[in-house]
Amino acid sequence: MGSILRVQNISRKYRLNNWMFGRNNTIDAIDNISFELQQGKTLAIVGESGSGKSTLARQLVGIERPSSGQVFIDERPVYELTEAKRKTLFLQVRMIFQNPFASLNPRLRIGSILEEPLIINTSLNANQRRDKVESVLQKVGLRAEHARRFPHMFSGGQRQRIAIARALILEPKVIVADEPLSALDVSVQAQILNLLLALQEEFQISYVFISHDLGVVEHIADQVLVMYRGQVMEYGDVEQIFDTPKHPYTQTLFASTPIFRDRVTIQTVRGYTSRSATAIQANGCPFAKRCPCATEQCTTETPKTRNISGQLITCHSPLL
Amino acid sequence: MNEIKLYQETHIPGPWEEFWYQYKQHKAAMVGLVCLLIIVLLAFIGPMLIEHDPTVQFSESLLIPPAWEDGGSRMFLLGTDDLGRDMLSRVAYGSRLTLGLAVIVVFIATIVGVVLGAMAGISKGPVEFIILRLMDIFLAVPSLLLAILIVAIIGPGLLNTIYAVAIVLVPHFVRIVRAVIREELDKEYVIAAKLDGSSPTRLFLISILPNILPPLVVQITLSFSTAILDIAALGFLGLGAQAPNPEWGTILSQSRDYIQLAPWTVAAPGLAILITVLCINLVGDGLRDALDPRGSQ
Amino acid sequence: MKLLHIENLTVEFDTLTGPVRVLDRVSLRMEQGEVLGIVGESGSGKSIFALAIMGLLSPKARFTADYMNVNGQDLMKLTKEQRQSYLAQNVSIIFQDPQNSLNPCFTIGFQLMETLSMHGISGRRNKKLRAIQLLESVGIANPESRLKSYPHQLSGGMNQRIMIAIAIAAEPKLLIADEPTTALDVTIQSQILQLLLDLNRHTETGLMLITHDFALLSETAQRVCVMYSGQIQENAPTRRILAQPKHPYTQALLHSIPHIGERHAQGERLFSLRGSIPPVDHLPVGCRLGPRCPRAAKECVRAPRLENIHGHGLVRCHFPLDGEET
Repeated sequence: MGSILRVQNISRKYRLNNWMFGRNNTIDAIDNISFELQQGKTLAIVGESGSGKSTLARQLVGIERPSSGQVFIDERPVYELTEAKRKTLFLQVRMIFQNPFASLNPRLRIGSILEEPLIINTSLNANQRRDKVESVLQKVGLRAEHARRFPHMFSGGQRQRIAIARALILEPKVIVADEPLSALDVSVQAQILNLLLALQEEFQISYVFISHDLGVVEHIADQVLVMYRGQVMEYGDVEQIFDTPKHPYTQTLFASTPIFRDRVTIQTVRGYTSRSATAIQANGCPFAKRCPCATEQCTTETPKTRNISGQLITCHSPLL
Repeated sequence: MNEIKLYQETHIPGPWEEFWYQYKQHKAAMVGLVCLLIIVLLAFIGPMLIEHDPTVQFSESLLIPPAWEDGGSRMFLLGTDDLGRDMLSRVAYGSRLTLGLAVIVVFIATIVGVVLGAMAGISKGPVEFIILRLMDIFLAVPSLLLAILIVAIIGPGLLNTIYAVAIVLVPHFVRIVRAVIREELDKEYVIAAKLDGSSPTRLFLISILPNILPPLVVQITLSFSTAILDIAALGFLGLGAQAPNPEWGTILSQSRDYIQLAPWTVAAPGLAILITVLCINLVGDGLRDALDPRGSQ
Repeated sequence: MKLLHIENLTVEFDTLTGPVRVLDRVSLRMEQGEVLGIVGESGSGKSIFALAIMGLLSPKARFTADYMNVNGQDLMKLTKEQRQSYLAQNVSIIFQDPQNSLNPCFTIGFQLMETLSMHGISGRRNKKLRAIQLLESVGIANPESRLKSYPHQLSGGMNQRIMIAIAIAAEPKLLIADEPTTALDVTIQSQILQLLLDLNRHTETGLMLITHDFALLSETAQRVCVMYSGQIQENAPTRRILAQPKHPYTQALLHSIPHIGERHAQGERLFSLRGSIPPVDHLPVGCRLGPRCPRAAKECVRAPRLENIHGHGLVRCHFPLDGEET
């Protein structure tokens, strides 16, 4: 079976047009990332802030175009297609944002917000559109009469349901969710998580789920991609990553979460980064400075990605 | 969530209701609003209630003081000017002229300003650069001086006053609209609309425009008072409305010579301008507070 | 002597639809040197509670309490000025977002020394020495060079350490930490938490940890106080709450977090409460959890009282969970 969303070696560089640094200075927000997502599966992307998770999401839904590499939707290379075809293909990949208070237009009624994608992308008439809006509202657990209300009349959890409804309404195959739970209250998070799972089972949607909450990731993911400073540290099935984390960075992440602490073989987390250390050295592992297992080699030589029984690890000395 | 309704269905305030509640909190703004409504009402019906025509000259009653002064007459409540014209009638008709002109001016300035501001905000590069620098040039000259300059070039008269004051007001609109659009373009819901495949025009009309309205309404109100002042100033300098027209600034300039002899001829139009502008500014302040996103939580 | 003893603290605000009670008769005690966790979601009143203790509520708030005893002094008997100076000596608070709590216009050193001079340390040399000492105690390397840094030059974790340094400058008896780690990365979170606990252990400072995250408290707090809609719902030792919560809301909070090793299987769902948190101006009659509670019954339209359950702690529920069922 072919994959629904495949990403091949994508990188995204941002130019720093600052007179102090001179022209043509670039930073790699994400560097050489590849993964593959099957229909009805969930890929979780884990990492700290500044790891490039959100930048990656922007490339996946087409807000930005990667500097290099290719995105395949339904096994079709999007950046080799014409503008119009690319646009229709990107409709298969929809996005849910982190903050439901910022992602809904405060001056529009819920009905208008949900109707917008239908007006632009389909040839449905007003009645059909209204039916569709009502049915999608019911799918996410809201009532049809909610369409007449404004976003400020809803709580955070309900707003996130509306955001999910907006993503669903064009019947996409992939939904990219950028920290969809982190702005919500604990008792509401479980509801939204349950909703996402139910929708996945009903419509065979694939998720790219960006999160820093390891408990949630373990619960819903099929595959996990651990990122640090724009690079993939470890990539594999959820069982592999959570049962046998092999990269020191993955272990560091686990060690700092109380409920996962007993899973790791290393216990010390060394140092903390200051902002000045964010520049990536040309050579060496980006994690070398904080890594408890770093050797001489780690600071001088960029580690290669290795495949250890299906688990991809970018490290010189993985913890086996 | 097919839950049973456990709460009594109470009234949820809509955005306008919320706005009105906030506005009512502002006492001074409410006074301003009431006064402004009275002024507008007077401008509409006032002239109908007054028996004299503003241009009819009563040659036997020149410079009669207001009715409550010694020597005043009940025929002329606010007295007469040097040509024997009824001051009350002149000020009342003048309100139509001054307010009406101001409305037209602000209307033109808003349309032009929003269009230019939207162009500058949505497009980047040369279009934005040219519009902004042009506006900077306008803003570099004091507004009244600029209006005088424009009238000096295109000639005095009512119509030219409209153009001149409108041009003076446009840069403020452009700046505000552009700034708000820039802010809006970074918001997540605008990105979401872009992902829906919205064209730039649609993005502007559906997603951005409703969010520009609050600051725009405030700017329109404040421009209104600027417009009244500038129109009156041009009239006063003899560059705007011409002599027989009872425009407030024009009345002021004609009465200037008699300020010692007949102060009421200056006081009446002067107070009219003062009170109107004060009311509009009070309303503008109230609107600004009530539409402030921090206040509407 | 109790470190903190509050009886019936109530806070009300006036709004569009009339007065709204955001804190409803909250009573709480803390021993010297205790670590108390306060758990609640947004709107539970947990942050208002912290602000009320610190006297930082907006002047619009109506604030009443039977008494509010901090380290042996009843705050309600003091004038506003006396209260502020007493609190400055005895209680400190740190907030969620360190970047916004520090003034970006001044160096770390300046801000630290400013606090020190307010607490009666005079002389540039003395202040500088104490500042360096404080930075060392919160685990900042090269404290001397850090004094010259501005907040934007440091990471969030570093800034939170500096906030803690400023907070402990006065050697307070009670340190209130309102979501101290929420804005930080997971790897930094555990370090900051460890630092707070070390301070608590070494200086006998009472620590009030306010958070929405139960996992954070499981290893740290001796006692946990669960808040919902402006009321305390359960107040008991952490050990007992984790082993067997008595209040349905506490149970829901604990169960809605995915457990270790719990991977999703087809058709399986997490436990979750229906609906959402009621807005404070629109509270249900009787028990505030009522409409969302899976165990709600007819009695729940009568407001339950916070009652002591032997061998557990205080619980506000007509039908406390009794252990066998889950």
